[in-house]
Amino acid sequence: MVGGATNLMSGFFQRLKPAGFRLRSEYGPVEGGSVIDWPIGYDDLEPYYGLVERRVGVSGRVVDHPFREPRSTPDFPYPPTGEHPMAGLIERACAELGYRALPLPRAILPVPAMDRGACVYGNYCGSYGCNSGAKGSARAAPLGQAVATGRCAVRPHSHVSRLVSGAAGRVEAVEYIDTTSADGRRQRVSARIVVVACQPIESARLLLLSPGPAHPDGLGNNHGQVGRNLLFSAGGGGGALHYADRDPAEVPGLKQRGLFINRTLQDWHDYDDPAGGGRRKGGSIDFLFRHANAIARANSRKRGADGRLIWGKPLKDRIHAYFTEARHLRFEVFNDWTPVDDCFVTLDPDQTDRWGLPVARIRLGYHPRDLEVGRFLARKGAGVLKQLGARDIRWRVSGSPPQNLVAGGCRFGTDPATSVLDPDCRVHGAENCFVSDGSFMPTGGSVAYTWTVYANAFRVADGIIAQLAGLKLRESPNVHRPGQAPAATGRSEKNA
Amino acid sequence: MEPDAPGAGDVHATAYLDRALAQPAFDSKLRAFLLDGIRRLDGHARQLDGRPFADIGAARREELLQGFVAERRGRNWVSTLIGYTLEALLADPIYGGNPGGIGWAWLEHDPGRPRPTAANRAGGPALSGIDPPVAGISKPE
Repeated sequence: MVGGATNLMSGFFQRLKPAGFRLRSEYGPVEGGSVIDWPIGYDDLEPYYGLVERRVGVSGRVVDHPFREPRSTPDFPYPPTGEHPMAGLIERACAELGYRALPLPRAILPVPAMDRGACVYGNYCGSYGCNSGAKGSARAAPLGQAVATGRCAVRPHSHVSRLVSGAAGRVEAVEYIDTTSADGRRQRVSARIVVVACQPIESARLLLLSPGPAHPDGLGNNHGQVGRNLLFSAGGGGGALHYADRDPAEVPGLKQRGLFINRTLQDWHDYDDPAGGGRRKGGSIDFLFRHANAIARANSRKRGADGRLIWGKPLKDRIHAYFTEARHLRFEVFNDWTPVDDCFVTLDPDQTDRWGLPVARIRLGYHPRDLEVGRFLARKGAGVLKQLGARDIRWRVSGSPPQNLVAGGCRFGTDPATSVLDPDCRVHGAENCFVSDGSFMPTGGSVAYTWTVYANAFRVADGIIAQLAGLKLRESPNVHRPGQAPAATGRSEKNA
Repeated sequence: MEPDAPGAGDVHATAYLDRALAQPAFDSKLRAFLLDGIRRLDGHARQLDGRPFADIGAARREELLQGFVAERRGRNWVSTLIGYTLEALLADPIYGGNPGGIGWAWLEHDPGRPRPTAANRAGGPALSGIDPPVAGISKPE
């Protein structure tokens, strides 16, 4: 899919906070984990978070609160998208419990901009392409603009099978398969700079599939770090607000579909472990509606609480009640997933894909601390639903986590013995090859990763521009710095 | 069957499944599993009642089905068929079920937009994978 998974994201965008870049220094090592500080700090990435706000389009509203991260601009370039009455109900329930619900930014345009349309509140954001162009997918946002310059060509249906490197360790060619050809013949393309962004599992797989004279165990894998320290995210829960339990005047507003909740709780971004474990990095809780997909919702009714299959009139009754008698809420819990030795990607020794290439084999490991923190947060989320008067409140935090948020696998760092990428996200030992997806993250921060991945990708791009000019990233006049536009370079930058 | 609540016949579930099975991309193992399940359920009925499943009355069919799902393979098969029936209830009418949006109306459901057309529907003409307005995209040389 051109533009990758951002086509299918819901676009909940939150920044990592300064402490998220230095977990080991702030909170100490975690026994049994391999937590390290990032080799860059929040200030290095802050200008790029701002750049994403402008170039990709992030809408929201800054409010002051104890965990608010510093910003170089006072507010978002776009105001929040339209909000559902449920947002107010959640704010009130949180306030009654002594919590503070905060606006949750979205990578969604509330107005037309940058040759893209405004949100039409179609209610099918996550897992679906956005039909209006409002969602800031990599395809609609930066790639669309890049192609429009005439200086960017996209080759779809091209599966990259190997990065070919020479004795100096540089990538000399990219081998790919034209997937529309019957014979899977390999093609090659060469370039001065190669950037890998296949999402962590596939990026690690590609590097492992790419040994060379200077990289006998796979590109960047001379210290066995490729595929290691994979990160996931915790889980969540939900409940149902039954119309029969509400004030009748509220019900028409509750039934409205398309407007957003966009509320998050960060009260336990940092907290004292009630079991006496001391100060802990906590996380955030995002509130949203259950996804609108009707077939999925109907299918969820076909098993009873005892696991037995239901059909006929009893199933129809259950489905009808589910669809027409309540609004279904969800909350998602994000806490820092501790990198551990037991969570990694390798090449499968037996299974290959249809082109004969070994598939990725994923070892799912986790640290018990992550479940403790996740469950602590999930109980808070469930408490809000209870305060709202929801029924059927359930939640789940598991070491077998949701698959839609993966990071790590090729973490960046200053020490090649414990990282795959240098601080500019260049593969160690392959000075013209960069990895710009979420693989670079040594820790995930306790928010969805996507904004950070986007911001870092723009930072990596500045590093590439500097390298092509013979400069280091920090020397480059093009580098974005807090509060100032980059120096004029002759690049067209209409919306900077 | 029930007033205002469409049944499998009302949503054209059989026609929907037939059309799905006819797609070239339909998984061959799944096709075999579905057809095998019909044979097994029918065989179950013939063995117990001496008649094809389709000839048996509704109440007895219900009992046979309950026996059939007592074992895992039968349960998986019935679950799969329910899944197809729910697709026929709620998928866009262009795929053969949910005629006139009868399933959507019953459940007060607003489908996603834009609706699929003959040109871009799943299983329709192959797409190039690009959006018309974006220039400069080429197939590999």
